[in-house]
Amino acid sequence: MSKVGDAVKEALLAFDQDKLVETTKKALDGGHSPQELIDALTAALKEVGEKFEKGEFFLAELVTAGEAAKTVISEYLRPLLKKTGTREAAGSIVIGTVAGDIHDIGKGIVASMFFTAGFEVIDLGVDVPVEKFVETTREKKPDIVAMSALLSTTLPMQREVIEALKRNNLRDQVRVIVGGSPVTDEWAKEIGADGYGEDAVAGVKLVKKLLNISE
Amino acid sequence: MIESLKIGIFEILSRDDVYRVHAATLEVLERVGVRVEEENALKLLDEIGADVDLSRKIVKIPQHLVEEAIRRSLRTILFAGRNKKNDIRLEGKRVNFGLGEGATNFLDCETNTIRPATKADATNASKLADALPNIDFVMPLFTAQDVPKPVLPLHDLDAALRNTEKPVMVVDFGIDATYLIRMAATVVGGEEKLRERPILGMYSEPVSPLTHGKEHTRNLMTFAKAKLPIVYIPSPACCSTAPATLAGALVQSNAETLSGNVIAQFAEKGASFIYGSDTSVMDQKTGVFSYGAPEWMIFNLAMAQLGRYYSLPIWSTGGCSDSKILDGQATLEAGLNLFIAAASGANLIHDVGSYLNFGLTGSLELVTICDEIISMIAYLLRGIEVTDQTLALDVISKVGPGGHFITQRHTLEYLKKEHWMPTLLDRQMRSNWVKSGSKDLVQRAREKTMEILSKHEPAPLPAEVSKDLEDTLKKAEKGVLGQ
Repeated sequence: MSKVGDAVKEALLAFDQDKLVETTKKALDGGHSPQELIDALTAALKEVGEKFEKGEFFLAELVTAGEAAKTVISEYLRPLLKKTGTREAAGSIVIGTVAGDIHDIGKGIVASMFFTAGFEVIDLGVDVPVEKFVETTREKKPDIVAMSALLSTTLPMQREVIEALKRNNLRDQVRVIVGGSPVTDEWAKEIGADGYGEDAVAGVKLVKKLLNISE
Repeated sequence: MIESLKIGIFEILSRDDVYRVHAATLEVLERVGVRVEEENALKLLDEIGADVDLSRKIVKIPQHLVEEAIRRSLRTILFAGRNKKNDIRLEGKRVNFGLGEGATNFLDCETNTIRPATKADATNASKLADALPNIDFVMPLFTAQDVPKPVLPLHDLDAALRNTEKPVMVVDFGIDATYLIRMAATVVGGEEKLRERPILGMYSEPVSPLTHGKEHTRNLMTFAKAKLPIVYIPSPACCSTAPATLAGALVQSNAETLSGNVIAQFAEKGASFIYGSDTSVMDQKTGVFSYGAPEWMIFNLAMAQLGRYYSLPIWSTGGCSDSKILDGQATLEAGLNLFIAAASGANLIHDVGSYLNFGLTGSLELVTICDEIISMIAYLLRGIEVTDQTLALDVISKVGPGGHFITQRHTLEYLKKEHWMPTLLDRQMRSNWVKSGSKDLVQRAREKTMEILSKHEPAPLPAEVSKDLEDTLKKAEKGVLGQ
């Protein structure tokens, strides 16, 4: 790995966003290109993800690293790039917690893991209306729509979104995945989703499988 | 090891209760007395003013001698490891954990069958105990059945001395303890060095009710003079070798161990005496001496309380079960009696994982499971640290209503310090658990045990020491077998 790559990795593994910002700025001043730094961050994030799966890093560290990298890429590096893309993303994912449900953490962890795994993530937040999923799918043309629901009472909204995508002729242009603690494989099949992941790691594996990306 | 219990110790006797048990014990020793079957001990007790009936070998011990022996006792005992980093101290509320010794059967937990234990099993148990982070002292768990019976204590000790750098304790099984001392002395470079670095402790027992057997009393005095840690505690069973009532059995247990202390402290002022008892019940349906009984647990609490009343280092028992195999009963009983023993504040807790089937069967996998249980118990008993930093007002106000703490620096700083992490207990989501083979606790414990045994190399004895130990063992064998 290059010297700048080492520096970025070290700052990321300190789980310190301020340090990562500082390292990034220094590297830019030293003549490194934004693209080079994005690539270095992506490589370092991948390693964090692998270490989490092996049990060497904890969940809080994984999410913190993901968030720090996301902030640096979107606030410091993306604006410097002429073209609109941020990095060679493995695919793009629209994610949100369904209407009536304000649970953020699980969805946030999954979003962070997607980002860490190299995907472009559009996080719509919580209590996301059905129309918002539809609109965003139409405008951003993501590869994946991911819906979270923690309450069994809000679970039916996942079906609503899928039905709305169908009505708007968008369902066949996107893969839909569902998650959340009351969700099961059977439920995912029943509402016509493309898949379900039991936890964040399973979610990433599922997306990679759906998009034919090798591990 | 728990440095010092932070949360309240279970005190099940009131101050008045403790005093009444103490007073009753003094009365038993003064009026009923104990039988002492060792000539030198009888002579000694006669010299110091006990009322000795030489023909019946009954010794009535006046109260002041019992009190004086307690005053002569050590409040803190160093129990050294072959490597200094493994030294432990027996004092206050420091809690240390170790295996037991004496299981004559080895449990194969794949087939749930047993076979006679061998010296190789004692070697593996010592290796495993050397590697496990929550085991503080080593007893070799098994007792070798593949060596001549009279010399088996020598081989158990040999297995332990060669395979761990932690403090070693062995059961005397009535062998002349001088041989055990010689072997340990060989390892540290002589008996004088052994006094400085007491790497060997001995477990020996009076015979209930109220009898000090010949060999055990001789060994008690031998270890006292050698200034080595001695656990000299009875194993009475309520309804057979002790009264049915818990208080009565306490009085008798106390009298048995304290009269042992009189012999030890007058044989050598400041003998490293460790107080306690393995008191349980005779099961009324089967006649067995139960290792999983709640009665034993409650005796552990009470004896620890009495031990603290005397300021004596305390022995206790946990991590054992009456079950024949490594099943739910085994982990239930082992977990509960380990917790109670630890929460009692005792200084040496033995029988971790050693004993199934009333002390007859040992399981390496249970040792590994107990290591995890101890780690959990140690976490519990450390309590909650309350400081400005841990009250977390800054981060609570920073996150505010509706936010989350996952990416806060405070979270990253404290998660490892404040939280317990399992190494054996499973917390996977079901699908991942299925993917990784749907393994139950026993299967995982087996894999972990096998991995440790295949990878862990205890620091070997230096070549010349190893050779000397071999010679010492051979000489001791000849001595015992009279060749």
